[in-house]
Formats: sequence, C-alpha cells, structure tokens
Amino acid sequence: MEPVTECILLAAGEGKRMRSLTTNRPKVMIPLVNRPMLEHLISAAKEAGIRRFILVVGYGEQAVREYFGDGSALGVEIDYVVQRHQLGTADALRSAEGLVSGNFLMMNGDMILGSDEIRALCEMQVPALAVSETEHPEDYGVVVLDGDRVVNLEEKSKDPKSRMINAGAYLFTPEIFERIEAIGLSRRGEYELTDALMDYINEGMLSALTLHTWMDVGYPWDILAAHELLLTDLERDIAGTVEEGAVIKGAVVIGEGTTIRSGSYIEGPCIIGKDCVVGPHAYIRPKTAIGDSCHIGHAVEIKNSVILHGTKIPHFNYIGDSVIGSGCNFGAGTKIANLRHDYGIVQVGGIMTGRKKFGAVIGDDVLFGINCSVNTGSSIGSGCRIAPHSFVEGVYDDETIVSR
Amino acid sequence: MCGIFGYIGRRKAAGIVIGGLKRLEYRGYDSFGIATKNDTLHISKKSGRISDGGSGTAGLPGTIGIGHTRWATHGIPNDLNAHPHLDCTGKIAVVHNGIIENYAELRRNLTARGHTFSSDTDTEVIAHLVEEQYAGDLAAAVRAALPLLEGSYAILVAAEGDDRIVAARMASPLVIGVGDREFFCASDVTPLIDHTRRVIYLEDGDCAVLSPSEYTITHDDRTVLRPVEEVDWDIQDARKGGFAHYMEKEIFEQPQVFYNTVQSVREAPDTLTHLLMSRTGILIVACGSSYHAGLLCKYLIETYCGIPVRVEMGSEFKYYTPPLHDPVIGITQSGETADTLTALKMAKAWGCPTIAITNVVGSSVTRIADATIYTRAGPEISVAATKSFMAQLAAVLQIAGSLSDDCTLEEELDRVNIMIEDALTIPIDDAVVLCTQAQSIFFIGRGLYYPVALEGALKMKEISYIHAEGYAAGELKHGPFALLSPDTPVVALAMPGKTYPVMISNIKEIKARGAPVIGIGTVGDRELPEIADIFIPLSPLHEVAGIAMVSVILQRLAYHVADALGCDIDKPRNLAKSVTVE
Amino acid sequence: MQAVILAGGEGWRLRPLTKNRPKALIPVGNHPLIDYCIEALLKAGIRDIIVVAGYRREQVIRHLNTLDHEVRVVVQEKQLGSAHALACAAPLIHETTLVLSGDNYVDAASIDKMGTEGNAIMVSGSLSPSHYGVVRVQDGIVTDFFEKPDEKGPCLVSSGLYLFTPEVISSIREADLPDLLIRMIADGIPVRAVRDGEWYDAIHAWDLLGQNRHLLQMNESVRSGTISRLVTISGRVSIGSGTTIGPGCCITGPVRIGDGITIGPNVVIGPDVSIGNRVTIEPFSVLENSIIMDDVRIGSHSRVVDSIIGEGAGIADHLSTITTEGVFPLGENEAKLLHRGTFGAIIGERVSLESSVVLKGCILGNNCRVQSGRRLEGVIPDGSQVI
Repeated sequence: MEPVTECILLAAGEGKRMRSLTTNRPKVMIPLVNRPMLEHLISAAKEAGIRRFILVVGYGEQAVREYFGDGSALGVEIDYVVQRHQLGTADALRSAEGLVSGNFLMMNGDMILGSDEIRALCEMQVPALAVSETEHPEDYGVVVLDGDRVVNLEEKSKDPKSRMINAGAYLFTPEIFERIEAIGLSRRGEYELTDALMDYINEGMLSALTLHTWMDVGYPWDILAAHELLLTDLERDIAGTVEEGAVIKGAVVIGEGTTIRSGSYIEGPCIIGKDCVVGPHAYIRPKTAIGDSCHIGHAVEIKNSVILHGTKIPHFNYIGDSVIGSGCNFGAGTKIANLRHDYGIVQVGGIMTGRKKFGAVIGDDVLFGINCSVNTGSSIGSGCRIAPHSFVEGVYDDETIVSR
Repeated sequence: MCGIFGYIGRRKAAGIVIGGLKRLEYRGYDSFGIATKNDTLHISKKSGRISDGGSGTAGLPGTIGIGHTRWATHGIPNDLNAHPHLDCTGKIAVVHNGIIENYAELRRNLTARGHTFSSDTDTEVIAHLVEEQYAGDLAAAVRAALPLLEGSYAILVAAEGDDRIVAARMASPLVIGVGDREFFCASDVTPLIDHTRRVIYLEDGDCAVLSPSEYTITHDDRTVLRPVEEVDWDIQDARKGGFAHYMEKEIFEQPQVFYNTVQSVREAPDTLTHLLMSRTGILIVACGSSYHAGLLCKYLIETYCGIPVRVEMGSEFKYYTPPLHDPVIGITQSGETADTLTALKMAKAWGCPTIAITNVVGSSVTRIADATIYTRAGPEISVAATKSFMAQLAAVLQIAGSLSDDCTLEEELDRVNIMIEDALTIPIDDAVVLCTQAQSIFFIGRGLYYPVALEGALKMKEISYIHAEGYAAGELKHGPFALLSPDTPVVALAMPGKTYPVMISNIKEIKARGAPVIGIGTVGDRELPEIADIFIPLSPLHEVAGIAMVSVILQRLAYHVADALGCDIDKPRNLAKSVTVE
Repeated sequence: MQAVILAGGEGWRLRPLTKNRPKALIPVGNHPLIDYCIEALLKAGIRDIIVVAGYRREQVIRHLNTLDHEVRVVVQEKQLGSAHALACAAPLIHETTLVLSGDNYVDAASIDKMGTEGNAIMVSGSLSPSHYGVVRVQDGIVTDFFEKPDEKGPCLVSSGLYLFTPEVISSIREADLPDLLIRMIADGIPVRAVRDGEWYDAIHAWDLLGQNRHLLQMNESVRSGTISRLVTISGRVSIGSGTTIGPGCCITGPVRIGDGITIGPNVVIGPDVSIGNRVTIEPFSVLENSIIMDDVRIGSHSRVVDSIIGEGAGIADHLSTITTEGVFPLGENEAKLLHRGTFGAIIGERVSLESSVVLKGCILGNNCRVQSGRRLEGVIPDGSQVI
C-alpha cells in the first residue's frame, strides 16, 4: 500500500471560546512555546511522513498564509482552500475536494498530537478515526467501540455512553467525497461528516486508533496545560546575552538578541524569545513562555504564564498563571491575582477552569495604567484601556475603556 | 447595468458562475447566459431571471466559465440577445457590461467584411472584432480589438483552444478575485466574497489575462502591477425572513438604518466639515432617489448653514455645467451610477474637491472621490430604494447638523429612529384602497416636503406602475390642474411649519376641482381632517422627524398599492438596481 | 423534531406595552421573550423552528431576521385562536412537533422532558388556576381538561407546551388548543402529561417584573463601553458596547445594560434592572427592579422602582414611583375586569413626563403627556394629556 503523504488540516475556525486571544489571529495561530499551534501539528505530521498539506482556512486566513507561505520554510508543500461559511467539518472537507490524490489524513488544527501517533493513524486500515479517553466525555462527541471497531457515534450529551471521544483526526480514502456528496445537506443546512461516518459504521468498516498524547486546546487555560506538557521536553539553549549576576537554572531557552540583565533569576523549564530584555532583577518561574521583543523589567515576577510577542511588563509587576496577548503594556505596579481566598476552582465568565490557581486572560494591545489590580479569573478583551489604580474583575469585551 | 461573472480554476465552473450571477441579479434580470469551456465551448442562455431558471444550466462541463445577467440596452430582452455572444466560428464567447457607442458603424463594417450577426446587441461586434484579430493568441486578439471600441465596457472573453479568460474594462466596473489556484472576475465585490477576500480593482484601460495559476494585467500594452486588496467585510445576511418582499423588509429596517448612519457620519473626520464650511457654495450631483436626497440636502444646508447649494442630475450635469471650484458631492447608493461617476470625474478634472455619499464599500465612486461618507443601510435587494434613501437622508441631515452652529438639529436626530418606528405602524388602509383604483396620482408638498413628494411619486410609479407625479404644491396650478378629476387622488403633505397655511389653501383649491385628497398631517390638526378625504395623522417631535416619517408613509403607500395590484415589487419591469450606463 | 412557536397573540392584558408589538416581543432581561424560546429549542437540539406571527407580524419578522439562527415564519392573517395558528403551520410539518407559546419562558431541560414520540402536554401544579387550563391526569395520561375554572385550590394546569404528531396537527379544525385537547381526549388519542418543567408566564404587565428577575439570574457578566473606575459594580452586571457609565455610579447585579447608553454620574442601579439600548439616565437617579426599554430618557433625581418604562419615553427630573398594591380595570369596555397587582408604574411608549411627577401604582397609556407636579394613580388611557 502507498504510504500516506497528504493531510487536510482544518484551520478555518475563529475559536470563540478563546475570546480575546483570537481578536487578531485565528485560533490555530495562537502560539504554544512561541510557535503557532498549527506549526507543532505540521512538524509532527511531517515527521510522520506527510509531505503535502491542504490548509482549510477562513477566519484570519491572511495570518495563516503569511506565516506558512508555500511551506518551503518547513520543508513541506502547503496549499490553501477557503471555507467561507462555517458549515461543519464535512463542508470544510468538501472544499478540499480534488486536491488529494490518494488516502489522506484529516485533522483539526487546534490540537496537540505526537508524530508517532500520527504515523500509527496513517498505518491504520482505511477509513479510521482517532479516539481518546477522557474524564469529561460530556464535553465531546462520544465514540462507542467494540474492540478496534467503531460501533456508534453520539453527539455531545450529559449522559455519555463511553469515555472514548472523537479526537478529530481521521484517515480517509478519496471515496469519502462521494459519500458526503451523496448524503447532501442535512436539515440543519450542513453537510454532516457524522452521516458519512455512520455509513461506514453500519458497514462495519470504521476502525479506531486510541491516542495517548492527544490534547485539545479549546479554552485559554488549556494553553497553560499545553505548555506544561510541551515544556517538559525542553532542552537548555541559550543564544542571547546573559549578564553576570543573572541566574539561569534548568532547561531554559533564550533567543537571539535577548539580554538577561544582572540580578535576574530564571527557573526552567522556560522559554524566552528573540530580542527581549529581561531584568535587571526579574524573577521568571517555571513553565513560562515569553514571546519575541518583550520587555520584562525590574522587580517583575512571572510564574507559569504565557506572554505573546511585543508585550511590556516593565516595573514591579506580578503575573501568575495567566495568558497575556501581544502588544500589551503594564503600568508600574499592576498585578494579577491568581488564587481565591477560599482556594476554590477559578471560573472565567462562569466557566470552570479546573484550576485553583489561575490569573487572567488578557487580549492584545491592552494598556494598563499604574497600580491596577486584576482579580483572579478576569478576561480582558483586546484593545482595552484601563485607567490607573483601577480594580478590574470579570469579563471585559474588546475595546472596553475603564476611565478615570 | 448588466452583471458579469467569470471563473477559471480547478473546480466545475458552471455552478460557481450561476451562483455569482445570482448575487449580481440586482444589476439586471431581463435574461442571463453562461459559457463554459472544456475542450469546446458550451453555451446556455435564457430570457428571464437566473433565480428562476439558473439551476438548469449548472450541469455544463468545464473549469472555465463566463456568465452574464442582462439589463437590455440594445435589442429587446429575448433568448437571442442574451449574452454570451459568439463570433462567426462559434469559438469565441464574450460577455459585456456597458454600451459600445460606435457599434452601428462597427457592425456595418463587419457585415461588409462578411460577418454574420445573430443578435441585435452592441456586444456581438466585440466577438467578431476579436475573431478578426485572432491568430492563435486570444490575449493579443482582445488587446488589438479594444482600441476599436468607443464607449463603456467591462468584458470577459473565453475561446476554444485557449485555457485563459481575457478581461478588460473601460468606464464599467470590473473586479478580479484572487483565489487558490483559481481566479474570479465580477462586476462588483459581492459575488467574490463567497470565495475570496483578496481582490484587484481594475482601472479603466486595463486588460487582464487569467489562467488557473497566474494573472497578468496590461495597460497600453505595458504590464502593470495592481495591488491585491483585502476586503474585510462580510456579505450581510440578506434573507427575506418571513416578509413577503425585500422591499417590505427594507422599509422595516429603517429605524436602525437611520440611527446607524447618523452615528457613523457623526464620527467621520472633521476635515470633511471644514472642507464644506470654508466654501462659498456646494454642488450636489445625483440620480433617481439619490437626487431627491440631494434636494433635501440643499434645503437643509441652505436653511441651517446659510451656504448656497446647487443640485444637478448626474445625467444633465455634463451638458450644462461650467467649470467650478466649489466642492462637489456625489450621492449614489451603489457607488456605480455611471452618470454620477462621470460628473464627479469632470469635477475632479476642474480641481474641485469631491465627496461621495454611498452605501457600498469599495465601489467605483469611492475610488474617484477625495473623501467618502458611507451610509449604513446594509445591502438593499429591492430595486426600489427605501432604506438607502433613508440612510442618505440621515447622512445629509447629520452633515447639515455638523455644519450648523445650532446643535439642536444634532440632538433631534438622536430621536428620529423612534419616530420612524411610529410611522411603520400608523394605519394607511383607506389611502391604499383609494390609490389602488387610481389611474394617476399627484404628490404635492412645499419646502422640505417638495423632495419628499417627488420621492413618494417615484416610489409609486416604479413599483405599482400607476402614473404618479410629484409637484411643488404651488406649481400645481401652473398646468397640472387641468388633469385633476375625481379619478386622480392627490397626496398632500401638510406638516406644520411656515408652509402649512399655503398648503391648506392649495388643498382647498384641489378639493374644489373634485380630486380626492389624502392629507398627511399632524395629530391634533383640526383643519386638515375636515378638508381632506383621508387624513393620516403623524406625531413628529420636530421638523426633521417629520421628513423621515412622511417618507416612510409614502413608501408604505406605494408598497401596499403595488401589492394589492399584484405587481412584482422587488423586481419591477424594465428597471435595474444600479444604472451603470449613461 | 420540529417546533412551532406561537407568537401571534397581542396579550391585551399587557397593554399599554403591546401597542407596537405582540407579547412575544416584549423585552425582558433585554431580550424579547421569543428569544428565550428559540434559545431553549436550539439548546435542546431542535433547529427546524417555525414561528407563527399575527398581531404586528412585521415587527416579529423583523426581529427574527436579526437572529443568528434562521427560522421560518408563517403568517396567521386573522387572530382566530391558538389551534388555528398552529394549523397555519401545518403545511410545513412532517414530524412530531413541539408547540410553544412565544411569550412563555421555558428551559431546554423541560423541552427534553417532553420526549419525541406521540402527543404530550406539560403540566405543573398551581394554587390559583383561574387564568389557566386545568388538567386531570391518571397514570401519566390526561383524562380531562377544562379552562379557567371558578374552583380554587391546588391542581395541575397546562403550561402551554405541547407535543403533537403531524396527524394531529393536520386534523385541527378547532380555533383554540384547549378545544383540540378536549377532542383528543374524547377521541381516545392518548396525551401524556409531563410534569415538573421550568416555565414562566406573565399574565399582566407587572408580572414581567418577576419574569425579568428570573431571567436576569442567567445574566452573563460581560462589560463593554467606557466605564469609570470609580463605578462600584457587584454581582452579575452586563454592559453593552458604546455605553458610558460616569463616576460614582453604583450597580448591584443582576443588571443588564444595553448598547449606546449614557448613565451617571452618581446613579444607583439594581438589583434586577434591565435597560435597553440608547437610554440616558441622568445623575442622582435610582433604579431598582425595573425594565427600561429602548430610547428612554430619565431625568436627574428620579426614583424608579418596581416599574416598567416603554420605548421612547421622555421623563424629566424628579419622577417618583411609589409601589403599592392596587386593583386595575383591564380590557375593553364591557369586558373590563379587575386585576390585582403590586408595582410602581407601568409607562407606555413615547410618554412624556415633565418635572416632579409622582406615580403611585399607575398604568400610564402610550403617548400620554403629563405636566409637572402631577400625582397619578390607576389606569390612564392612551394619548391622555394630564394638565
């Protein structure tokens, strides 16, 4: 059998659950360890033998096209198709019709999956579906298995019949296109992939591969979990300048052009991008990722947080267990709380994060005046302006102004 | 005035072209046709609407296609005159939007040289000219043929034996959509948005050659680079919902449209007001309903700001107007109205500052004018302008408000939307019954209500096909009085203000000639209900709300009369939404 | 599964608020009641939704066109009754269909409980059945149904949520749904009684306040616009875009504030207040347990408690509402009945109040104008001028 070398990646979604982080970029372009989520997946798939990718893009497509281009920088071939209206997975698949030549993979772009398991999926008997076991099957489409055969698929329900869920990775033959076409539009006005799969299931043809390294990145706090996972394999690599008197412990990556000033204390695993200035006297704690061109200044403590490029956190700030967008500026003394007094699970906008320690989700280009206090579980939209000495908590839409 | 659409790429073209033409149907719906190409050309054309008969042609094979939806200019609307048009060999297909002014001469010469014509259209000459120039290279043939054409055109040409589409424009709109291993061409951006955000606006004199993998644009035989622009708007959902017609839906959207437009014009940069304020006069050019909005603008700016304003019809402007220096404002809903565009280009050539008021982002007028004010009406599907007129009204009111020293006008504008809400629910059943039986209807008003009367009459005639005339009330006795009879209802706009007493005496004169009167006035008016046969009372809080309310009542009157008469309200006969020929 | 939402009825007991809209379009918690129905249906996975519009149908259609989910609309030309309205939708129905009243609140869980097979009616216990249809049930099957009885005391009443087969819907000849049920019982067609759903109906205008309180419990707190840092916000407060809240305001949730609003400085709002779009509230005013609809202006130093203010009302300074229990004659001429209610003021659309008006348990009709310093109680008809 011919090896599988083609992969359709679904990257058209806006990712509303990511809220302010997707104001200026599609969900798949949110960085994990300083590279877009989608790049991790493409690299892993490349390692598993995929040579050609078809990216189904839509929301924020320009950002995807500009970053990946024709794929030559990553040593792969990339084509794009546009899914203009979000009419479901099968519709996205349809838009790529005619662009694959043989058996092919199809994967959601917003997940983490290792290359070994991608290769294992490629070697399955076609058609195949990847599944994963979870503690929270009620949040996903559930798959009922009999051995390695799929015997049923169920929509999201409060009372799931299995703990195996659809992981959003498939191995198909081009015949799937005919099946989708034959099914036609459902009464929802969508092409339903489930309907096409149910045909295979009824014929006893759909096999399942159980994944172990899979993780989906749906909510902002999943970004922290993803970093906790991805940073464990980090190897120390210091390209920038480290001044005398700075302490670098463990697996720390420091990009070119970055200066770590004296008196700073950095505990790995931790990654700092290019052209940053850190310190003097900054304290960066484990599982932190800082993007390019950031400034982390004097007497700033950052713990278990993700900070996107171009953000300035220059004086007397504390950031804990938070995700901060790009181009933000924190006034001197502005801090983010990350623990409730009752030690309860932090909620953001009424949704449980599952974490006792969680700070805030902050979008792009947010400006804080001096001495603002951001309470635990806050979500602050892109482009917000926060007056000095403000106390901020709860959910703020993009472009909200907290005035004097 | 027609719509054209082309596709070249990796997918089946027919369905994509049909889908594109449906989005362009507002530009004309007399007939439609498409040509697709695999090894040979496949042609399908029909009189009538694409939304009615389009699905039948979607099965044509090939990954190259061009299509056309027609508003007849030369030759009656029938199957024969529908585009695409072919040359003698049947191997070259052309779709065209515009008018070839020297077509009669070209046709004579071509016939003399032995060409056989199968239609009455001006377009067919293009196919034959390309045929004469064809020597194996379609692009070269089209480029050689173009200089022979006088007039306006946006054309797409496809030919057997050539895997390309050649597109060219002169004074008619044409946009290229850049896809992934595929390209699209269309008369405007709307049908492209379904497929891509990246577009190239062609300029007059450009000729583009498209293949599935690349495109080149030439101008005067030199290759030029035109920027690929990112369109950042969505096709707003133009669903009719449960409304019987788009016109009814659009009438009911007006409160929000008015509010949105006022807010957005208010946020427009101050430079615009400075530009207008520092001048000794302003000239407005517009056509149709936009012309009526222009007349209102004249009254408002002259009254509130003391700046003299002239209003010209776009189609007449170029024949009479001497060179000017004052700012020129062009009002066009679509941004593609050919006469208004020509007028603005002339004004620009004289060195006048030019300002566009339009509803369509990225339309041609926005590329001509120095500054653009957008109305926020959203897509208007019905051919009869309702919410776009209301948005223009809101825009000119807000402009007058910001030019004026008196800030009460601006404050009043904030409450107009709720007054429009009222006008949507005031019963007008009796007036509808009366008008339905009429052969001819007069609409009269004075001052600010004169343009409102003109607009009311325009709405009535364009959708109900009842003869209707708008008159300044005082002018009626200079002639039209002779036409008054019990069969000619008169809709009299007698709102409070300094014109009210004379309006009342005009109405009495009309009553004396036996014509039934529908009086539109205010709640609490004692006199009007006594003399008018039907009285429609409104309760505007102030004068500007009155204009908006009366406009809505007249739109509803036209709508319900047309509905009662069983007319095709959204697509009245012989009309098209935007007039892109002069 | 399909669903039909009946949104054709005016709901005359809610006058003056139904002048320009049917009951289903009255905003409660800043959304028309029908939105909650549609939301609950979508949550329950029912996407094929048909709305029957009648009274002020244009307003219904116009509103539905603004929603993300596309619904189909059927027009009931004459308001001949609820069963007739359902029959208007019959040509579009081909499976078991859920039938809801567009002006009742019902949640997704209750919809789930109705099941997907056969015919059913949702019932709930009531102590004051006089406004409802009373249902007798045996072994989960409805055995008897009668409307608006004189008898008092606990019993099961119909909550206006039904499940019907397409056969039943195509057989409708009755005007009203209760008559249909009575015939079904007589013909031996089994109708399941489903209990313990969550539903809520506003019979009188003042009941909307309770419904508002209830619906605001689900308020998401998202802030937008420009908010002074000197605003004190507690509880669930949502603030729309383009809204400005000046310093010194104190907002206690649940409160929902719409778009394009100007509030303050020094205004006290909440709890249980919904404020529509483009509203202005001037300094030193107090609002509690109230519904303020779109385009309302409230002058400074006003006290608005337990009240509803209709669209476009312009209120000068120093309005006071006084909450009181009263008996109000509602309905047309001879059919007028007395209804008991407790509230401050219910103010119709486009009402204009001059300075220092006191409203004590007052229903003020649409387009009323009241001169300064008046003190009013009871029902004031539409268009009144109080001088």
